[in-house]
Amino acid sequence: MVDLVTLDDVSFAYGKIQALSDITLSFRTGSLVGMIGPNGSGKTTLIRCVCRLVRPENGTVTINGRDLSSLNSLDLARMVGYVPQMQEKAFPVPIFEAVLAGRIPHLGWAPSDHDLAIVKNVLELMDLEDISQRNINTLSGGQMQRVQIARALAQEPLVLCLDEPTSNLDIKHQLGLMRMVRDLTRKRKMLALMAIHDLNLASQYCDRLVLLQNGEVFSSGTPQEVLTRKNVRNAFNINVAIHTHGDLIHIVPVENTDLRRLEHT
Amino acid sequence: MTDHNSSHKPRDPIAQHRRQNLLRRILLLTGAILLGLVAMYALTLGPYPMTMIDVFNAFIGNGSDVHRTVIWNIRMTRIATAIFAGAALAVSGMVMQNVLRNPLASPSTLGVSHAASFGAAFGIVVLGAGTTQAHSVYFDHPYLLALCAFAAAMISTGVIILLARIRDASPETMILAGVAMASLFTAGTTSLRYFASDEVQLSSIIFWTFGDLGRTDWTSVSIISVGTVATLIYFFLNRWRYNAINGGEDVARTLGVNTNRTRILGLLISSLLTALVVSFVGIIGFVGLVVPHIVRRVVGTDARFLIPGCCIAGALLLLVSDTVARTMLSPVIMPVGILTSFLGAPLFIYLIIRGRKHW
Repeated sequence: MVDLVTLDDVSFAYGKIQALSDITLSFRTGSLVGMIGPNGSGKTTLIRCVCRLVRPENGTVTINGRDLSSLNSLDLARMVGYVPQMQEKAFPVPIFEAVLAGRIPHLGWAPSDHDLAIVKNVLELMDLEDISQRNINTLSGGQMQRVQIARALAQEPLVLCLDEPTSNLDIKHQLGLMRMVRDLTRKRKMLALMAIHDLNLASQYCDRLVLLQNGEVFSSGTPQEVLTRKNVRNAFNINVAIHTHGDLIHIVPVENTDLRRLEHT
Repeated sequence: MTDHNSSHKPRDPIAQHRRQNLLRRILLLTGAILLGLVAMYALTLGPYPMTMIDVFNAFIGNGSDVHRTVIWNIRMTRIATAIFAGAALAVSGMVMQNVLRNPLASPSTLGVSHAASFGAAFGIVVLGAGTTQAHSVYFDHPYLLALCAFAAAMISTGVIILLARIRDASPETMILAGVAMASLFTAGTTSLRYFASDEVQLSSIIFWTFGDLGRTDWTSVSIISVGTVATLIYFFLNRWRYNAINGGEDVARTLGVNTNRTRILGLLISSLLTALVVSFVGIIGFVGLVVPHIVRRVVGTDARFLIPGCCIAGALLLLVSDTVARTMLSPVIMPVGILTSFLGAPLFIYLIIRGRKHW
C-alpha cells in the first residue's frame, strides 16, 4: 500500500525558534493519526506544513506522490482540508453558505447542482441539515466545530487536518467528535491528521500516534507502543500511571510524592 | 432544532438556499427599480420647478432651452455623480471591511478620505492647481488634483496595509490608526488653509473638506463612472475570494486563496476608487461605513449579493441625502457631506454599541 502523505527530512523555524527539525514520517489513507506532545513541541506546525500554511525550510512534503512546494494552491485545496482550532470572528452567514465555501476550489462562475448536492450531503453527514439556515454566529462550540468539518469535507479532500479540535468542547462532544472523525476516515477513505492534547482521547480513537518533543519525533506507532510510562515521562517531564483494560489505555498523572508508592505496586 | 412531531416533513437545505437566493435577487431588483424612480423624481426637484413631463421632454431633447440646460447640465450630472459616488464609496467600504474582516473599516474611518482631501489641498496651494471663476470654484488642472489626492490616499493605505500585515492587529487598533491618520491629514489641510495665499485657494480647499456633488460636469462624471464600473467588475470577479476570507485567514488560504494578495489589492483598489471620488466631490463620510452593514442585514454576507446590494443602496442613500440637502433649505443648497455626517455619526456609534453581537 502506497503512503498518502510523506514528510522527508522536514525542518521549520519561526525566526530563531526551531519548531520542527528533520521530521521524516509517512501516513496511509483510511486512518486517524494523532500528533501529541507538550506545548511548543511542533504538533500544530507539523499540521500546518501539511496544509502548506507554512512552508518547510528544508525537506519535502508529498501528498499522493506530488511535491507540495510545486502544487498550485487550488490543486492543493482540492486535496487537503483544514479545520482550525477556533472559528475566527466573521460577518454572519448561514451554515449552508459557510459549508458552500468549501466548494470554492472547485467552483466555476457559480455553484453547480453537483456542488449544492455535495453541500447537502455533508450537512446530512454532520447532522446539520435541519439548521442549515442558522447563522454561524449563534452556534455552540460543538456545532461550530461540525460546521468547520463539514466545510472541509465539502472540499472532498484526501487529507483532513485538524488543529486541536477538541480543546473547546465538553467531554461528551469530545468523544462524539473523535468517533465521527475516525468513522469518516473509514467511510470516505481519507487520512485525518489531528493535533491533540488529551492523551486518553488520542489513545482511544487514533490508529496511530506521533509523539513530538522539541520539534523532533520522540516516538511513533500504535497508541500502545507510544504511550508507555517512560515515553510520557520523558516527553512531558511528568510522572504518570498507565492502566490498561484490554486495548484501552488510561493515563493518570501523578504527583512526585505518590510515585514511590506506585513503584511498589 | 426541530421537534420530532414536525420531523416527518424534512426541510431540504438546497431548496431553502435557493429560495433565500431568489429572495435576494428580488430585493436587489426592487432596489434597482426604486433607485431609478427616485432618480427620475429627483430630476423634477430644485429651485426651478419642473413637472415629470417637462423632464421627459427635456430628456429626449424637446422642450425649452432652459429646461434642457437645467436637466442635462445641472441636475443630470448631479444625480449621476450621486449614483456613482454613492456606489463607489459603499462598495469600497464593503471590500475594506471584508478583506480586513473589520466591521469598522471604511474610507473615512481608515483616514483614506481625509488623506485624499489633504492631497487635493496640497495641489491647490503648493502646486497652484485651482482658481475661482465667476463665484464658483474652478480647477485648471483636475488631473493634477486627482493625482495629488491619489498620492496622499496611498500614504494612508500604505499605513493600513502595514498594520494589516501584523497578524494580531485588532479591529480597534486598525481604527485607532485610522483616527490618527485622519487627524494628521486634517491638521495638514488646516495648516495649508492657514498658509493659503488668497481667498480663491481658501475656498477651493474648503470645498474638499465637505463633499458637494454640485460642481461636477460631464467630464468628471464620466471619469468617476468609468472608474467605478471598472472597479466593480474587478470586485465582482473576486467575490468568492471575499467569501473565503470571511471564513478566516487560515481557512481562506487552505481554500486556495492568496489572502495577502487579495487583501492588498482589495485595499489598494478601493482606496484608489475613494481617492478618485474624493478628488472630484470632496469628503462624504459614513456612506462607506454604514451602507455595507445595512445591506448585510438585508441580503446577507455572500459577496455575490452584497456587492450589487452595496452599489444600489450606496447610490440610493447618497441620492436621497443629496436631494434632501439641496431642497430642504431651498434656495440654499447644503453640501451633502454635512448631511451624511449628521446621519452617519449616530449610526456609527450605534454600530459600536449595539451592532457588536452581529459581527
